[in-house]
Amino acid sequence: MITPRPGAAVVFAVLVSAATVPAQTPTFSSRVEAVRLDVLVTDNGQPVRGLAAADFEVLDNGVPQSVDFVSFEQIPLNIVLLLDVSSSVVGERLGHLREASRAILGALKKDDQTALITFSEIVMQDAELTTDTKRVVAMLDAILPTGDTALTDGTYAGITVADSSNGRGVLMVFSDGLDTASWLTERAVIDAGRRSEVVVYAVSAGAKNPSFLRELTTATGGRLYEVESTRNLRAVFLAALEEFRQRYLLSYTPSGVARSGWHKLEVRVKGRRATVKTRPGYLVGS
Amino acid sequence: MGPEPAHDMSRFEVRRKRASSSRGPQLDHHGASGPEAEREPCDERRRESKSAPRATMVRGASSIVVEEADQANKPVSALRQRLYVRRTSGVVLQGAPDLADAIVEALVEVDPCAVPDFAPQFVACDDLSVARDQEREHTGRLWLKRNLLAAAPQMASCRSKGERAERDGIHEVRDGWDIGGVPRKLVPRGASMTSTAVAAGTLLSLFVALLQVPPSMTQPQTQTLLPTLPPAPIVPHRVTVLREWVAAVQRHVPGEVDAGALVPSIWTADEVVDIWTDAQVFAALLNDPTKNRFVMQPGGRNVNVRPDTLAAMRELALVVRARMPPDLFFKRAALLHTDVVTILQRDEVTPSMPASMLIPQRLVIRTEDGQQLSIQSGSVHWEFARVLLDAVFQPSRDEFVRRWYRATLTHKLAKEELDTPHFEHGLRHLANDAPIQFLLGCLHEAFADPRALAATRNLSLPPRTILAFGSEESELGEARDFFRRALALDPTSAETRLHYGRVLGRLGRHKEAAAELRLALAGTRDPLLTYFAQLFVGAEEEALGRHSEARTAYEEALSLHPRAQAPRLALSQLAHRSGDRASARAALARVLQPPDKRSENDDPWWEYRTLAGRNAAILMGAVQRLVRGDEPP
Repeated sequence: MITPRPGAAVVFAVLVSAATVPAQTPTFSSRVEAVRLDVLVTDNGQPVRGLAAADFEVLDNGVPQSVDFVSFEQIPLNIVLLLDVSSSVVGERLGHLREASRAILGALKKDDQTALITFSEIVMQDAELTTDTKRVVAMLDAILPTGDTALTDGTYAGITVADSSNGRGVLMVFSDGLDTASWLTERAVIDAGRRSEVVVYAVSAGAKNPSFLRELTTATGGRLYEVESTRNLRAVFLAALEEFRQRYLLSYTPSGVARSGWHKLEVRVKGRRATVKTRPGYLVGS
Repeated sequence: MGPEPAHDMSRFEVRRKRASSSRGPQLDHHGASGPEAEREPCDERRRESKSAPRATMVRGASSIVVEEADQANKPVSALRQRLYVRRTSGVVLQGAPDLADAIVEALVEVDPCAVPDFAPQFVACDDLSVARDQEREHTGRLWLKRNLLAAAPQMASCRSKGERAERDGIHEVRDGWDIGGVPRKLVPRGASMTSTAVAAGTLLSLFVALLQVPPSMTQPQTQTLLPTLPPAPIVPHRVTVLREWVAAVQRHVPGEVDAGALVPSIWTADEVVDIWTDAQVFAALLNDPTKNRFVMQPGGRNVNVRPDTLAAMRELALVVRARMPPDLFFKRAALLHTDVVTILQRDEVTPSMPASMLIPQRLVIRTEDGQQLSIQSGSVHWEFARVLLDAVFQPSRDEFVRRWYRATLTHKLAKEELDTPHFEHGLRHLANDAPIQFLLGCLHEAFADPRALAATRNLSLPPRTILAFGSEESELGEARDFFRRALALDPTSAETRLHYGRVLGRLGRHKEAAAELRLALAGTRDPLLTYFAQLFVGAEEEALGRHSEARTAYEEALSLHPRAQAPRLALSQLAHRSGDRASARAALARVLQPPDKRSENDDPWWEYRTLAGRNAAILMGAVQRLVRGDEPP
């Protein structure tokens, strides 16, 4: 059992993508038909465990749905680290970022995979999804901050990578500023997040009113952590990872609702008072 | 030969001697008389301390021997400090090139670190990539030499009545100068003194001051008779500053780093306060030498000028008017100050300018990636240039003024200098000029750029400081209006239409935007403008739900710049919208490719905010040629 660590919250965009799963693990319906939700259930701040499919109630645009599958801790994670390497991320800040990223890599389990994407005005995937954390560490060490901040473009790339696989993915975003260089609009990327199954956790260090990250993390059921200093970045990163590991993965096949458009979601736990955190809905089409 | 002056004379003769010891060359003072004696070796006075700097002087022909001053004199570092702040109008003596080179070489031999202090502008200008040690030293030497040589013509008029000045320029400095100050009299041996020689003697006097020969070493022993000179008139310092400025304007070659350009770049704060008023008075006198009442900017305040100062200024104005038309002087002066900020990069001043109602107050706030880097007082050179061009006859109709504003606004856009007062001043004169309207539009579009928006959100300003800028939407609205006016004046400008369409799109008027952008596409063959137009057309078609047309436009943009990131992101996002994850990922494949498998991305999109400034150097060169006479005004 993973105990959530107290302290500052680090928001990571968690992109869940499917890893190679053993034969006995339940399989998912095809992406086109099934909707998958990462759900965090807490009671007085403490994660609730041991729930099954029958314990959940899911409403899609107000229409009750039948939960096909619930998984907890069984599916390996695919964690995409999306890091701001613009010119302001230097010195101590860069050191903290590397340290926090290494901590995440050190907390991965055997079958977990990770990828590294960095952005200044250039968005670059420095390491594809891999279980070889040493390779990712090497790319971390090779980071050279320079240039502007294409946060929006970078986030879209992270969502796309995360959305490319089946399974549980986490997109963890770190940025210390506001976007200054992207081509894509915030609205377009937030909509991409709504269409995907990505959960986004984000850390914003020092930026005033990071509204884009706030809206994106809310839209994907993740969390935004706003920090003044990067001194505790390691603890924040690990806290977010721990929080995500407490989530259930629910799957259901929508019925009785129109396919296209926005789907408002409500998820409850039957028969008990509990707080449920998940994405507020999902988008199909434009 | 006249009688010896009654007052003590500090006489120095310099020659360069090849360093024969580790202590470096030496300057020995001596009191020999007559030319023959000058050639004899002189007694040297050595100082006790070998570790401390010291100086002795030797008289001799064709050589300068320099040694550091000793501790009994003022420390070299203190002089160095003074030298840093002094203006250098150059000193050239007869036979000067050799002497100048010798002085420089001697300085280098004794203390190479001191040479860059003679060239502070080079040291300060990191943009000139002045490296440490040898390169700094070399550049300092070149600078020093250039200054010395630049003043050569002034000294050419110095001729001996009966004696021919020695080739190495043996000179005499009479009593009356102070260390770091301007000598009252600088007399080339055998030459008659002129006021020009006095003014031109600054550098040599500074050099001499560095030698720090103590008073006890000075002996009025020479029997070489020099003409008796009348006492120099006491001229207010501010008039001296004004004269030096006028000389710099006349001497400076637009576009060059020369002695003229360095003059205003090293004004002290007090001198700036004085010259700001004096230059305006002078400009008024240049247009009308009979004027007695003056109105100053900022604020349109009346200024009373002291009669003696006014008389000196009037006299100077008459001299200048005799040499060149006032308008030409104003234009040359404007270019001088333009070069100070654009070439010498002296747009910020340290320490800060004094808070004063007498001079324009400006802050320069530097940001990077939306973060504030620094905030400093701005220099007044742009203001100088503008106020001088305001004095041109009918500036709104003057071709130089038109071109200057076009060039400088373009320059500022290239540098992302969002200097609203400068832009608005240009608009005041040139409201009917299509390029000026276009450039104003680009200014407001730049204020609405994410980088500027992020920076303005994070600014930390001093108390009682207001930075005037609007919201993103209001700035886009301003930009739209300027572009519209520009198009009304010149409908053929594809670049204006490109920006207009882009701004309309950002304001949510997608149908109009798409139409304007397609017109821009049709009106240009420029590959860069075409790339942007296709990219922006794609965005507008996508916003209108016409995804097929959007895809076509993005693919056209990508074909022009295959390594560009923006079109690939756009195509990927378009596929993602339609639910085609595979195509979305495929479109991003090159962007996501690990760095060891591809070269660096190259996307003009990152330079869109400075697109309008890409021809700044060409425009500036054309303005400079107008004044240099390469092109008719």
